[in-house]
Amino acid sequence: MKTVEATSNPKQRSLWVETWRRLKKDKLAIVGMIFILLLFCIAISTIVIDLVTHKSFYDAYVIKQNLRMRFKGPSKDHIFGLDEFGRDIFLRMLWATRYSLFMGTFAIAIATVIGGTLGAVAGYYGKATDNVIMRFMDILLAIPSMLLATAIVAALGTSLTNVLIAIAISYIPTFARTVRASVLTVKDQEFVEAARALGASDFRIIFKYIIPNSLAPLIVQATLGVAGAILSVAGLSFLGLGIQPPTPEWGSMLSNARSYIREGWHLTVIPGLGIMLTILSLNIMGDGLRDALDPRLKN
Amino acid sequence: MWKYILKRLLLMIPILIGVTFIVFFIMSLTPGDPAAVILGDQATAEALEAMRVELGLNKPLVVRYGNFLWNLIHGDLGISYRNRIPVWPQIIDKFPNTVVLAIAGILVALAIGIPVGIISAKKQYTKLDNISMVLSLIGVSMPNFWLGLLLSLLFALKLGWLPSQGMGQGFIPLLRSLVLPALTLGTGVAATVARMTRSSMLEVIRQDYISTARAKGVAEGEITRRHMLRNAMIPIVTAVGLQFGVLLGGAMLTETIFSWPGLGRLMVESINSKDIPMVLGATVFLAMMFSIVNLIVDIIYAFVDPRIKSQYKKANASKRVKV
Repeated sequence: MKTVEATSNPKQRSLWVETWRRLKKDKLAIVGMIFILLLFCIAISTIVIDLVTHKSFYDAYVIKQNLRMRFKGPSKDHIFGLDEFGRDIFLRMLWATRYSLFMGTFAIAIATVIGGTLGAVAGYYGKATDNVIMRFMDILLAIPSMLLATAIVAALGTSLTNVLIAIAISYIPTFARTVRASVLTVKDQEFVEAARALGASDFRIIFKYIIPNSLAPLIVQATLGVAGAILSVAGLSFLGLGIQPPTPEWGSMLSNARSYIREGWHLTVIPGLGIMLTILSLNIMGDGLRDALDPRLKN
Repeated sequence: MWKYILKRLLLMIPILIGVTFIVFFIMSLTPGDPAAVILGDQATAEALEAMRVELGLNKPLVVRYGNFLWNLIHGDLGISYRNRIPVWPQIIDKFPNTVVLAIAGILVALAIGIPVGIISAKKQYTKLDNISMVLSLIGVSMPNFWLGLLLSLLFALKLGWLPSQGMGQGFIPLLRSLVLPALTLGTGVAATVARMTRSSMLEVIRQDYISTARAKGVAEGEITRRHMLRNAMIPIVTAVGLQFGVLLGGAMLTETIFSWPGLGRLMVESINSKDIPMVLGATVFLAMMFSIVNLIVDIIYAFVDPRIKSQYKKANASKRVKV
């Protein structure tokens, strides 16, 4: 038995373990990944704090105004300084993490599931099905994503759900295209033919054999997509179409800072820095994942 | 070649119809009664009903869309709720400003992106390459509305060198007022262009014909220009073209920051005042422009890449043989 295990092991751990082994060597990508994990921890901790304290901490510190202290620069007590209402920017940054991070991730998750399914169906069945789905995707792609998201929010009104829907819809075509392309390369391979010969249903073939084998480009696309979605959330909030005050959100913090740009540089610099570091981390993580999943693409 | 262009033009029609329908459909989801918005609170029920009939709101969606499309072809996008002026002339009035800004943004992007990409590729894995690639990664990741705020904080407020609001009248004031918005819009694209240029230069840099050219004694500058860059340009042209479309549609943020009187800012204002015909018109217009720019890019692409041209020539030649 032992020998069998030893010989079958290297094959079993092929793609994912190999990928992780290569990714570990990419120090930059690991730094990005740690930063993103840290943000997730912050987002979850702030939610836990809100739940445990019934938002009393949030009310007492995060949205508490202190007009005598407005625009005070960074100090020992308030490391990022205070904003136009004398609120602590550091705490607001922490409490804002959840919106950017979870909305970006969630929007991309929706887009991945819907776009991925459409792309898989289009690629697998081909012919008329493919044509109908992909022409529809072409039409959606013909509208710049920020414009599409803005139009949807303009029509439906500003709420968390509508922003989420708007961003998810604008990313569906990208994922449909990615998955369709990889399904096309996988679907004629022998193991799919073998599954078909064994009498597997289309559903089983798509979800059990084809999708797992076309995951690599999808993961990379999703990582980069989350970066784009976070930018869209922040951009919409900046225009006043996303998350509404007094809820702290990086984009709307920047939008407020615009009116007080003379009063304090930290109001403008810090929220933007937060957005940039998040996007930067996701981008280097995405690049690292792409190189690790498919070393041939590296140059 | 003409056949290719004609084919692409014909393919545009269903896309444009689809785009206008989707935008029309999204906008029709807006809650509230447009008749009430136009007539105000004091309107009588009869007046509201008459207004609804006048606006065609009593008809089904498809019929309303048909009317919208018919009017669109005739250059009529309805009347703005906000100022009761037809939508179309307002768009035409603001659009050139957006185009000026987008072109300036692209010029900034090309002026920074292409040289950085070339140098990075030629000095691959040196410190210079590493620094410029890290900078371009930062450039790609930087939200441009933040960059815009930082630039106006530094150059307009602290140093007082450049204006940060509005569009200057006359050539020199116009140029001065363009600098900050163009840098804001162009930096992200410059970073993308630099990355693309580097990777497509690296693809050609070790080809045999480059060694041949060197062996023939062609000067290094000429090799870079004529042999490497020309071949590396194809993906760059595509990327820049696509980005141009994105800039047209995505200028909303930059225009808002710098109070640039363009279509993006008009759209943001219209959204805030719930001016649905204006939002609908501007979105449809921008989406159409985006599709047209993409088409032009594809056609330029075919001209730049001799392989696409020859494909069509070959197809024609083989058909002639068959006949």
